Amino acid sequence: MDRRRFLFSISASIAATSALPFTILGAMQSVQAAVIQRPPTIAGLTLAQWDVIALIQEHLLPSESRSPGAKEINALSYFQSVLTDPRHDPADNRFLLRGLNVIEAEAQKKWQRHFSTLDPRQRELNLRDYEKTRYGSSWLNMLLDYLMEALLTDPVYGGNPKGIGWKWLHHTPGFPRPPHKEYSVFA
Amino acid sequence: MNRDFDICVIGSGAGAGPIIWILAKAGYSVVVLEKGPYLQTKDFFKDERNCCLRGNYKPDLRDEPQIVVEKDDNDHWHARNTYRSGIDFWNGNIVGGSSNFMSGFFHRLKPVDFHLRSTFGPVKGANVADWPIRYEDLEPYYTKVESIIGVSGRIIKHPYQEPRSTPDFPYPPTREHPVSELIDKAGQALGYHPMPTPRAILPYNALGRDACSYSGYCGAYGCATGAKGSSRAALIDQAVATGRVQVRPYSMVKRIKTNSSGNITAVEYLTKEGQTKQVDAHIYVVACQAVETSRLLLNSTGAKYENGLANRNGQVGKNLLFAGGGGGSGRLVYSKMSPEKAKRLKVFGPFINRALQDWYVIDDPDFGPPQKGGTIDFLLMHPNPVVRATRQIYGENGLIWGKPLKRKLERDFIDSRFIKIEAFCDWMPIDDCNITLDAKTRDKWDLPVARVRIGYHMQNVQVGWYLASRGAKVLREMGAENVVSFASSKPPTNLMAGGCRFGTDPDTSVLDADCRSHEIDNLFVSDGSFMPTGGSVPYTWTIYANSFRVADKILAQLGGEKQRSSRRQNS
Repeated sequence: MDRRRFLFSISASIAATSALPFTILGAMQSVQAAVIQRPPTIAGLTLAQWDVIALIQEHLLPSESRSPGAKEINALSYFQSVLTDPRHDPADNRFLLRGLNVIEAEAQKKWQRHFSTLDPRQRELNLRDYEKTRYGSSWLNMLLDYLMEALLTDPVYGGNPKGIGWKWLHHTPGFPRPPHKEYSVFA
Repeated sequence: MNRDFDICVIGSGAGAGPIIWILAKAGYSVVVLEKGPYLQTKDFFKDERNCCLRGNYKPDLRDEPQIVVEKDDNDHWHARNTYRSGIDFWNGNIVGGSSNFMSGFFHRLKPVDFHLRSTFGPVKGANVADWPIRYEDLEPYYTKVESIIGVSGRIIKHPYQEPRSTPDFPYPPTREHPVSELIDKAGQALGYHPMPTPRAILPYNALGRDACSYSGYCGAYGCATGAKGSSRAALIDQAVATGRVQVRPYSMVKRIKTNSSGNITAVEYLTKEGQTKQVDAHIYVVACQAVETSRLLLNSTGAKYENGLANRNGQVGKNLLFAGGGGGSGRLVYSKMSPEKAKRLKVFGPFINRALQDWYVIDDPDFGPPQKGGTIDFLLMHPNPVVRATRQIYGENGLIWGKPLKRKLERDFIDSRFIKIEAFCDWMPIDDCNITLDAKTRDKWDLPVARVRIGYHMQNVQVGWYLASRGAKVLREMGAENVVSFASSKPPTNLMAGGCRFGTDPDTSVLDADCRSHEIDNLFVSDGSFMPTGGSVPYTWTIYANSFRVADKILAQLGGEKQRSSRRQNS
């Protein structure tokens, strides 16, 4: 568990209790307040929201014994690195968040449950419903695009570890391969 | 009069390199203003994300957009900022320009291309014009490009071969993929004449550059060996070595300044740090690629040039051209062929190098009166894996994901060799394909940006369809499955020309036959902007050849080789 996730989890557990001695509670409340006021986010999404993104990625590109899925290609951290790139359009981050909220609201409306607790069949129905909406198709398209990037861009970018995606698809990379991450010649 | 340099060249791509090279070797001082950096061969890697997904060799479109104006299916015109349009007209803002990223499919024009109007008559709705020069005027320069840039190929007996002053190419073809044999066999079975496509790629070490490494990643990538004949690798690096060329990277030219008499006084540019600087010269050459060349001239207003430089007749930016027309593809399925054949076709690295020019002029009563046709190039589907994988997410009923997506990816990548066709018609010059300045949008330096209207003539589509369908026949004859072919009205934004057409009439052209401005005798335009019609091939070889020709005209205007004349004076 990394530090940001740890802080987030203890703040949640503190909020759930009221039986602690006052002095301890007071001391911890200041920590809690700081955390609650500014929940840790990456690219504008909380860690809990990123957990949902990870679930969706795994649904879109599932792991199999014969081929890598979202987990094996480091799809989540790859996506986060893309969205936190200073050159990346922040509108994408807002778009991502909006879509996530719509998907969650739809899960609540249809199943009275969080999206993260739906079974695979329900998730599929939920995402297919979202695909039919005005922005849903673009939203899912964006997630699929970055999954394909995590699967097949050079491992220097954090996805496709040890060329796992290339090996699966018998793909021959070009050479020389990049020794470092890209940079804009106009940056 | 003292000037900073003899020649000031704005831009550094295929239209600039030959002038820089020739003039520097002739003893003249040259300054090159390039808006991007000066990268070297060692700076290029096979990195799809860098070159092709993020477009890192072009400016941030939030800072430097263009406006693209196109017609929808209901004939309504729409203007979109290129930050949101999905296309733009920047093609490699580094020293050497877009020639760094070309595939190097090098076709000469043919004699007929120089007098389309005289040969086929006017085309309704198009501004077809004859060139003021003939093929014979350009032929020696095509030959020069073969030896100096390094063009590899093989001349075969062919009914559509243009005249040549030499029997064959100075360099043999690059290594060919086994698919080439299949195309030859299929094409010949159909009565066609498949021909080797010349390439601006060195098959072995020569000209101070290394041979092709056959990495399989060529077009859209900077060459990591120097084998590809970019303007930088083939010309500018050598010109700099003379000590007479000063390349000023990260120099964004704002305008060409003129005085009340109409003479050019300086070129004003911005440095990377945002400082405004000026430089002057005896001769000025603009070669920023068609869109940005016209934009610079239009932005360069002055007391005598209210409508922009060289634009008294309002012709700057008119008759923009693109090399395109149609395309297609077919799939050879490994699992449906013998293991030996599949193994051969799986070879990765060599090129197909095949084209058809059987319909360069279409004389087919079923298609109408004789008219200009074009070229069909065959190539392996680009190996860029992300682009290829992303295509698989689209299905007939919506997006594909999950296990169905994974199976589709396996079919596409593991069991298939895709062959692509590209069809090039002679893009009709029309009023609705042009470059102007946008009245509202400005770039980060507060300069009006280019507004590019991309209308098309229906003849482009008809010819594109005619050609692509014949390319598709070859694919089917080869045994390819899932063969598709299509005509396209969309312009390939990396293959552009026109906007400053040359001609003999100062009322209807921007440049004279030497690519000198009709209005200012020390201003030349040497990129593809000069072309009144484009020929039915990618333009780069012609741009290179013409730039060598213009270099000779500038040299003559300056009084010939400087060193030689000084030596004569000293002896």
